[in-house]
Amino acid sequence: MNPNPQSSDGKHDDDSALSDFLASLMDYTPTIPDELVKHYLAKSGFQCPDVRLIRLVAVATQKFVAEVASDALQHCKARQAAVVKDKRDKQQKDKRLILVMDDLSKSLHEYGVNVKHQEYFADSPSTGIDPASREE
Amino acid sequence: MSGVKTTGGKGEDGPSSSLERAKADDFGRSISKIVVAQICESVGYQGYKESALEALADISIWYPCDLAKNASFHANLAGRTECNVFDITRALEDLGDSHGFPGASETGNCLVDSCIVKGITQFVDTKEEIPFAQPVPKFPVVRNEKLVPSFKHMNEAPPGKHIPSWLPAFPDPHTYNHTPMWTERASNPCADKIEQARRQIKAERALLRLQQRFVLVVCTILPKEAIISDSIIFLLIGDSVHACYWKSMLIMRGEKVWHWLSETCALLSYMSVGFLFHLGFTVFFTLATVESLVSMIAIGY
Repeated sequence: MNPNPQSSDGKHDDDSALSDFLASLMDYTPTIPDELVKHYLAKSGFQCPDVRLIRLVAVATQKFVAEVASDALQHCKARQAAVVKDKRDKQQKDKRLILVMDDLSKSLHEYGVNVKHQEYFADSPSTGIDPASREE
Repeated sequence: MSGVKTTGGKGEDGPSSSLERAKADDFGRSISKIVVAQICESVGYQGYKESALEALADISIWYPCDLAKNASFHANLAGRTECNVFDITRALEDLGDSHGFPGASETGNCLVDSCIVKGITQFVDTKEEIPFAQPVPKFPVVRNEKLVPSFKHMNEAPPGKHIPSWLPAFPDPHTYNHTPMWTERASNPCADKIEQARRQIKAERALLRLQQRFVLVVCTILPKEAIISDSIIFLLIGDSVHACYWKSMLIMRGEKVWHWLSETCALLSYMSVGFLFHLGFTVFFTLATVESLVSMIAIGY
């Protein structure tokens, strides 16, 4: 039948694409070191002596984290743009892009991860204590 | 990346807090934090808040663990213990289902042309390489365990036929044999006191006998005056027992006058003072004897 030879050719291409990709992984150094990934994979019961698969997992994780971070960055930039829009008369400060819990929780929410953060953080354990009794 | 801990994060250095204890996964977590910081820097961030970085580091640890569990599940489902690329692809699809990826709705798709893998391929091709900042040693470090030697190793025959020789040897018999123990005596304070008193009396009697012998030896050599003076001293201080001894010496020497005097005084002292001084002045008598001895020696020279 006609579709079969085509699909078999397509599969052959895909096979080669996959094997080429796995081969190219050996040249690419992911940001996450191999030892770290190996440690966590071993902890979870993943058994594979092939280094390429470990690199694949590392790259997949890196991609995921990069996506989350970039989404958070978008949120951060949108927030800054909104602020600047409101206060145009004020001198525009060179606002640095800081990774904040607010943006992170918003971007992670889209990936199905619920990260709740505290409303405020105390600088030290003695914050909030009566200043007379606080040891300086 | 400057890695500035801005307001809202911890002001001081992390490990300075004495309440924090080192956990088992601290090494892996700290490496993950550096990795996440590098990724954020590549995305475009210029700073981070400690809490946000820790949360993202937790995610970066959780994601490969979840992926691995899923992949090993698929491998076990197929009757394998080792995972291959298709198990990982299936696991990636499972994790990506919540977010959605192209081709998720298609069924009967061959895993070879999975869109997720294609997405990763694209990522690898477009993104520039960011190697980890520092070399990471192999961890966790495996310590050499001291294993119990087997029967074969110890050149011992196992005690039973049902025990193979390659099993660890039994401990030495001296570790589990029952040996007689020293039985602790129950302390009886009453009996102990009686025993102590008895021993004391015995010792005093022995000392008195010694003094007697001493006196008998000395009395024949010492001058009359020394004996009389000593006996008077004893009478005056109430040492009736010693006075009697001296009195006996005087009798032996035939001093009748002094004999009467000593008798009277002995009676008086006995009535007045009593035995209480007896013990205390034993030492005194000993010293007096020594003094007499010394004078005797001096006379001798």
